[in-house]
Amino acid sequence: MKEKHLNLVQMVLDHQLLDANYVECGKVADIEIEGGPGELRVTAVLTGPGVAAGHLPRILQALTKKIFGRRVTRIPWNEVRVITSQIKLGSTAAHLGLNAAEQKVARWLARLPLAK
Amino acid sequence: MRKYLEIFLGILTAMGGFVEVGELVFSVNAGAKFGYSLLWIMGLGTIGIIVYGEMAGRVAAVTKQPVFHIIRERTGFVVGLGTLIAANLVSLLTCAAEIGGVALVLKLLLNLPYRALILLGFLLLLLTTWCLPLNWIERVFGLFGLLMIVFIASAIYLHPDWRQVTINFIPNLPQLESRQDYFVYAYFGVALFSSIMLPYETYFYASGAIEDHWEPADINLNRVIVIVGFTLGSALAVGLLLIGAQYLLPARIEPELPGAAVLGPIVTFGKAGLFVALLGMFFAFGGAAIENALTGAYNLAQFLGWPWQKYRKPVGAPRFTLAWVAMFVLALLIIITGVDPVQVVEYSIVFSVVILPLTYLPLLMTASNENLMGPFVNGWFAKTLGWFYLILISIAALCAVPLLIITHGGNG
Repeated sequence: MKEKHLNLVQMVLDHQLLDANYVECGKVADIEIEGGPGELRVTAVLTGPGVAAGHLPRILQALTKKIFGRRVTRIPWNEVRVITSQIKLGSTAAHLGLNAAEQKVARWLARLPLAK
Repeated sequence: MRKYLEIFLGILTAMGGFVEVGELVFSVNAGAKFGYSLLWIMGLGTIGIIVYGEMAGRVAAVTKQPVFHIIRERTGFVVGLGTLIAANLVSLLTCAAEIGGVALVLKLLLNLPYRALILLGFLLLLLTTWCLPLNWIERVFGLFGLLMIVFIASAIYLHPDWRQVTINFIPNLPQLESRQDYFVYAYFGVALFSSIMLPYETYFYASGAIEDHWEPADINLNRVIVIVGFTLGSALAVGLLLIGAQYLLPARIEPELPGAAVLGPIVTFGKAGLFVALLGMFFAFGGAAIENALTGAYNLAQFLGWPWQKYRKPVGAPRFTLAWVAMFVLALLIIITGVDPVQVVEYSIVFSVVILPLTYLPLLMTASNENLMGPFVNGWFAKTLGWFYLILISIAALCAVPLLIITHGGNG
């Protein structure tokens, strides 16, 4: 990347995550940062309904977590390979613990005709 | 040669897929109530949907990002979620109304009980969407939707006053009897404008462009399809308005049901006209029902980052598939209650104008961002038109609900 600074809000937050096989596996719902003034370091991106619900007004948080679950998946920053309009990761979704619900629905749909 | 065929099919499917039950009802009603005087709103709305349709297609071809990716990135999770809920509610209501419209058309063709025909229509649409790939769905419903051309032929046959038709494409305010009539006129103006600029059309169009793997080289293809296809599609809506003005207004017929529109083709072409018009309506409404069900699923999957393309088999995009099936089922549950599909679509159209600014502002910002769009960024012309329409849409959004209340849903 040409730029020395990465604008995390504009270039990472709410962006599409792609796994090593270019499969969509969620959105960046939050960014984990460590350190103090002058030595801030990005350590992970967070995804999952539990994180996204945290951005909502308090009154809606409980309801959202009830419907969509409380799952929070932490993806270490060293998994991030390429940042364009999407965030490409180095491992597969299964390895990172993502898209479990997707697989569950797929197994269920696979029983229906013409689904595969 | 393949390119020309693609353009040709693109134009025809854009044209055939332009009119849905809400636009049909508002166009015929506008003619039956106010003669030709709302034609200028049709012209205004058509240019508006061309401007934003072109922008959505161009952004999709260059950035590979559909509209709800952009909305979430640009407005953040909370505002984006609000837009998603509103957009999907409008798509759900529109889908329900289209299934109801399909059932009403089938009732005129088969004369069986309405609720049984709702179920039949639902099953037909669900199975078609399950079995056919997206380009076949677009082609079958778009091309057979072209049978709606019978409404243009019928309008021409009814000998409208072409000088008056032309003059009324210029913004005008007719002489009406009372203040309430002016409110009803304004209500129909906003509703007609909204029915042409329905946000689902841009969501669906941009998602389709990504499904078809459009590249920046396809930008001219996008431009031709949008300009020619949407203009010809709008000509269908103009034909419907002219039938309302030429035949229903003098006969003092208030077209409350979509079926009233077929009076034009019946008068001009007899039984053959009736049959062709009903078939055209069946495919136009059916196509719109499928597009709205898929749009709801596209929006949800793109907002939450799930695999979403329809070209994948259901197991390849499982939650996306579940989402469009759920849209169909929920739409069925709404319409099977016996609620009037015309009323459902009227409300969905009026409420959809409220979310239009939230859809089109992020799109305009993205298309005007040189870092993202490179040489394909909005020029001064697209930018000026984009802002002009955004202001217009925002005014319409502010007026929509008060006008709905003041006019009792356009009934005066």
